[in-house]
Amino acid sequence: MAVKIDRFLLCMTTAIFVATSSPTTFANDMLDFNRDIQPLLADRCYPCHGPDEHSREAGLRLDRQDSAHGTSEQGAAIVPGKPKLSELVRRIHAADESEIMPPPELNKPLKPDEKAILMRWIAEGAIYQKHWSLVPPRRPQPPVANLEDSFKSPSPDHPVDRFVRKKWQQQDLPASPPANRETLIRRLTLDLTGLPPSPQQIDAFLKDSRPDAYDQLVEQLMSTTAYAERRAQDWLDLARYADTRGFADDKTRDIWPYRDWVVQAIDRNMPFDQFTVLQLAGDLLPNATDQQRLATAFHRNAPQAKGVTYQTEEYRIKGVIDRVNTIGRVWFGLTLECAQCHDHKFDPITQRDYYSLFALFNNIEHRGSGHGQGGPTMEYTIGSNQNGKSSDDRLKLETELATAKGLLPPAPKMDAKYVIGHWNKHSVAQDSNQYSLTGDLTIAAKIRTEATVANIASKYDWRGQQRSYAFGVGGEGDTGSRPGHLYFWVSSKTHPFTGATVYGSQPVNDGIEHRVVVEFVAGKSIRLIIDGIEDQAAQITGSIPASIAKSNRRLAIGAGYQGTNEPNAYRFEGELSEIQLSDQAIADSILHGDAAKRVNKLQAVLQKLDRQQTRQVVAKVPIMRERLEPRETFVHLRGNFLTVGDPVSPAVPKVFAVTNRQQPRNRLEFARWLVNGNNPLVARVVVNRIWQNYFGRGFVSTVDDFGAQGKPPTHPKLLDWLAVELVESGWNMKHLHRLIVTSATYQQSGKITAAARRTDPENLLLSYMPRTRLPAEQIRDQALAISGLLVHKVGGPPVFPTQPENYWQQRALPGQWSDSEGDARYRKSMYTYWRRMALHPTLELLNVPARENCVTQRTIANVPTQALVLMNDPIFHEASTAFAARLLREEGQDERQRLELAFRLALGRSPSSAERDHFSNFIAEQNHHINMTASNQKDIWNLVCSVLLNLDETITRP
Amino acid sequence: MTKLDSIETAVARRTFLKESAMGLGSIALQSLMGSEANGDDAKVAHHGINQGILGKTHHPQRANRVIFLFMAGGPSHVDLFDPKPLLNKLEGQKIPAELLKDHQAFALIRGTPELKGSPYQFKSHGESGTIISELMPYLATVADELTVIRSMKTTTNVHDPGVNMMNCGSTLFGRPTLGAWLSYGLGSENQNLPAYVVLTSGADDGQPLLQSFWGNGFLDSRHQGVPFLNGPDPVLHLKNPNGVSRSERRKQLDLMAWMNRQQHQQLGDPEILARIASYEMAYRMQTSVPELKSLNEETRQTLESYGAEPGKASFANNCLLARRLVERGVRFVQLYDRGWDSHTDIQREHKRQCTAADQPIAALLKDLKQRDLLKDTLVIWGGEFGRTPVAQVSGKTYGRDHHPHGFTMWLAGGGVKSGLTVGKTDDFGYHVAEDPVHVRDLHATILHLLGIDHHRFKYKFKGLDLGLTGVDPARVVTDIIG
Repeated sequence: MAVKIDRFLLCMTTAIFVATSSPTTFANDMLDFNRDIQPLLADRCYPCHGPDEHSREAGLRLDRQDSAHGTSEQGAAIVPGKPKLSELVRRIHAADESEIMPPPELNKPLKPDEKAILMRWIAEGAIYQKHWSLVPPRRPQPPVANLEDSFKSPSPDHPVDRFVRKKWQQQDLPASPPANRETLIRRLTLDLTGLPPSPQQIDAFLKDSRPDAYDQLVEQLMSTTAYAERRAQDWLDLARYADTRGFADDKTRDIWPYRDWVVQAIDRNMPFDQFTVLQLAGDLLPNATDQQRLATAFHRNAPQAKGVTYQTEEYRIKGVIDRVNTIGRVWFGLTLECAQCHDHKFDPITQRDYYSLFALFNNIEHRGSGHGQGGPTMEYTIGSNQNGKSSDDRLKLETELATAKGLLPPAPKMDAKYVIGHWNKHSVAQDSNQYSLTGDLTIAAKIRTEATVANIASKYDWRGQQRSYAFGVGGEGDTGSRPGHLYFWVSSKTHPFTGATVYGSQPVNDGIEHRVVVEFVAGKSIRLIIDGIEDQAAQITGSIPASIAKSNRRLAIGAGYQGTNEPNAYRFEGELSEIQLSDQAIADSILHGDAAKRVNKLQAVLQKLDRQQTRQVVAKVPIMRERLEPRETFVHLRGNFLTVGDPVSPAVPKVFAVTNRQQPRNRLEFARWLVNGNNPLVARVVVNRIWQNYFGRGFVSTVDDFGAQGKPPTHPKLLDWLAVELVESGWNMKHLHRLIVTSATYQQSGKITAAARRTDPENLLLSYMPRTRLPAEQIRDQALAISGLLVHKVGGPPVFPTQPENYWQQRALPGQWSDSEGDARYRKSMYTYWRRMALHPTLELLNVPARENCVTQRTIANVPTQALVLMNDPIFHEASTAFAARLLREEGQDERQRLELAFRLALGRSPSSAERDHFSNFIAEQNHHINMTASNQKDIWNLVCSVLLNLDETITRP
Repeated sequence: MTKLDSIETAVARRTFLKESAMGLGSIALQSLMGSEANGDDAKVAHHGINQGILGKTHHPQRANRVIFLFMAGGPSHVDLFDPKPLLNKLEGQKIPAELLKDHQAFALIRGTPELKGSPYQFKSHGESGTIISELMPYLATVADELTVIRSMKTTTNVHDPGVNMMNCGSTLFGRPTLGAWLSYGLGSENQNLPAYVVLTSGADDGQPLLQSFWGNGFLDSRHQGVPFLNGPDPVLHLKNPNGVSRSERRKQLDLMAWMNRQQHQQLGDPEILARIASYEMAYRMQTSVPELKSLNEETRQTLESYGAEPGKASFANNCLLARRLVERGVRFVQLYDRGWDSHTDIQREHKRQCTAADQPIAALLKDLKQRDLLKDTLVIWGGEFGRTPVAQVSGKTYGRDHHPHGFTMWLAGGGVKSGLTVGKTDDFGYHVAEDPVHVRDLHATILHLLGIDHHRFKYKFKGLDLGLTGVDPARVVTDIIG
């Protein structure tokens, strides 16, 4: 009998399920625990039957298969395959208020279709799965998807498209045609640089008939600083960057050098792992440079209360909590904050986990010289000479040097016939006999780093008395070594040291790519070569040995030894590739030779000049600096800092299954662990957020909740494929962005298709390109660019573009805004003084966030006050005035040509004939009213330009 | 279209409306479907407005709109509504130790302060016998309209977290304020004005008013409060730039709308229609807001009753404006009156504040009643906390420090009982002695009066169901509901 009923139930539930399925689920699939069941259980059951042991009822956990399938007095909550025998099924249908689940006081009754899904799942065997996002991603095979000719993909094998198209096929969704080329260049340029393409750029692209014209455009746009500025804008939302410290007093905080650091790091395409390590723990790197310490301002961006009424300890703790929650949102994509007061109700994060992370970020001095606003700061300096004249000289020399270097051909590479070892990443040789060279040798490598200490190749362990040879940056931090400069050590005895040390004369840790070489000629010479040019000022100490000792350490690439058998020290942070080892002295074959004479000379002059230079402090930037004595950390019962529970030591959440030995002891170890490529969440979370930036929605629409309550991904396999690709590319962010924008998916038309409207009204499957309103900054910057007012200057202290007179006073806020003079008023919006408690009204009304805490998604409204800004705000009026003047200046008297240029500047396309007619009528009507004097022409065209700046098409990324 | 197709479309549409993150655009989709069928774009403008997520309230509304008179800085309950004979008698003695048990530090007072009674006379007023001090003689004339709650409690004694608590139910920044919740839930009744307006007045040296005080938090930013400025333009950029006439603007808008509709025909993105609607509303606001702000059409009698003077920035003008706003269907009006933070010379400062606030508040209540608006307009009076029954001595004068443990607020209209006083503090006016009403309870009650069950009014954010009330218990104070 039971069987019959079960089948009946099954049919019913299937029917209901079909009716409620979304485009990302399919009726004929088996139910998927992660996608279909866990969200229900988490929402309705976990509050009392979930991970939080304090609120657990009847000892029952429905988040764990063993407990759910286990037996209790009332029988099993779930009997796999037997809904009728399952207590859960009985309870969700119970009529009695004291029995029904979920209990009425939860206020979340199960709907009939939800009950049906649960029953069907039990009938299918009630299979549990580990939550999808906690299982490390494996690279799936991109599916083969034939979509006939309706989709003329520019690159049919693009992996992104193969995943996306597969979904369309499953849903019978027709593909959209590619967008036209005017739309494409406008979309791409706005997305990559935050600015519209100029008419010249558009023409060049339209004329470019090369098959890879689009790819070339991508490369060109990605190489601009504007690209870095635009990406930085998104990161600064996450970093909660602002120019004031928040709370009532909301005074200025000098933290803009951090903003500039972000722009520079992205401009150099710093790999995301390095980007992470520097911001979370750059100060803890050995011999940290100023730039590395500056990066740690990341965690000093949180609002900080000042004033006697704020209880110091209470508000210090709020700051630490903000750090932990930010880590949760930016890297884990988990709502860690839920575990601040109790074990997480939906995800396997305990309160103890929370405070173990807290312990890592709890060791910063809070009070310093300024009450409440204390904490460590660093002096941010910029170079300057005592007389302004010599800084001009320096600039001239730098230009000459750059020119001279530019004239050089690419540095020659080592001829393969000499190479006995070749690596492209961190490695260790199989045994110590390999590469145990005793005579001449040459080592070459391609590097890009900002580290002061970073080994390239080492068979050298002086603590372990196993010396041989070592090459790298910074000499393992040894006394006498030069941080950030090349070094080479060589010894003829493993112990004691009997040989030579060489230190380079120029830093190579400037974050720029270098080809570096060391050549050792036994008993004769050691030469360092940077980018094909010999470092003639390198300093050699000791005597060059006739032979090299054999050590029992294996050759380590990208690391070194510290008295251990494993190369776990002096790790090379940054990009390291094309490491080549030769057992011959072949430097001459990879030198530029005479061609480099001029470069050598200029370099020598510059070095001399730099020795005379002085530095000027321009800002005291809050940064992270570890206390010598770490604070003790305790669990705060119910989140209250006054009621402490058990002491905790630093650790990552247990769910990540890290052994005690591997537990990070400090921020640096934590940061490295975070981006070691093994964490199941980090790469997915990063990829998902970048995807969101282009498509307006992530695969996981809850970008900072990948937990049980988050939304399941629309394209789980594509998400995993991209996550694995990101890690394996060495966290190469440009690679990720490039992959996305070169996909056909990104290049589709933005027209909403009838089929999509019918079967996928939210466009979850991306069968057309979603349009997105530009962020506030880009709306203003674009208007400035179109009108020719925009001033392209990167970085520096914040600027004060005009705001309504006495605006702060009218808003009952302290402080005095004084408008910047001249060019500073027309800088990019990201450089506008970001006052948390009173944003610049132009930007505020267009929805920039106050960044009171980490922002992972901006809300974009469509409201009348924004229309007032675009039509009436003085800066937009000024822009339309300048826009009009530009048309009159560049196109003389011809109305037709003026309109042509106006459309091309504002919309990136020519007007249609109907548009031409409408605008001409508008102009004619205005002419009818007023005399055609020159100044009236300006007024009329001002009205025209204002219309263009206000169009939905203008302020929307197509 | 077959019947099945139309059902499918309707389902898709409903899903879209419910789940789309596009907000306004999704609502405009409804119009899009209509406009495709009959080409009637006029409806778009109508549908473009904020209709509120709830559609129908959970239960019948008692109040339809709210005026929150926020006495920023914290008014002194023991000087205004809560007379304490024992406190007066024991004035000058050190504060009894038992009052300080489990008690966080004072905000500014250090050491052990002395009890300080009130120098003001308290009398019973009206038929209800509601007790009000001599500092508020005008309010005394409408005593029978009030429900006074003498047992309020909040969680912090710091200003900005305290204002956050009163507005958002949390001391943290970044949460939606009460007005934003109501705009989100109930929407706007006026196409020409925002649903949530903030008016400011008071002493220049008062606590600053932060943007977050009318913030939308994680809700869509169209629910953010619009602060009316006290300068020439109450709403920023309301006026056309010099040289652009209203008729020219009209023609510009017509050209824009034509262009935008072209774009919509090509791409089918409903957000474009919402854009057209926004621009049309902006155009209407250009006349509706100055008309609203102009007090010239008010009778002399009305102006005098409030003590309002056209063109002047004052709390009195704001009270009159508040009436004009609710009259026009604005959902939530919050008046911030700065200068109640009396640490150094409370007698002077509270006198100053009451002189400015007392008459207009009484006039507002009478005016609302006379226009039959009071019955469904909830008026709330209070600050972020009260002030200490102990003195903060400052040379020859004294003030009172921030006091979260027990203080007074009052409500009027909007379905609350009239002429009632509930709750009690202890003999010192220090802790709540009977019927505590936490700010959270007040929130639950306000929502209840507006037809909303606070348990069911949530927004999914960061995996949590967040509402104005949250994890900590909150109850509707049924005793005060009429």
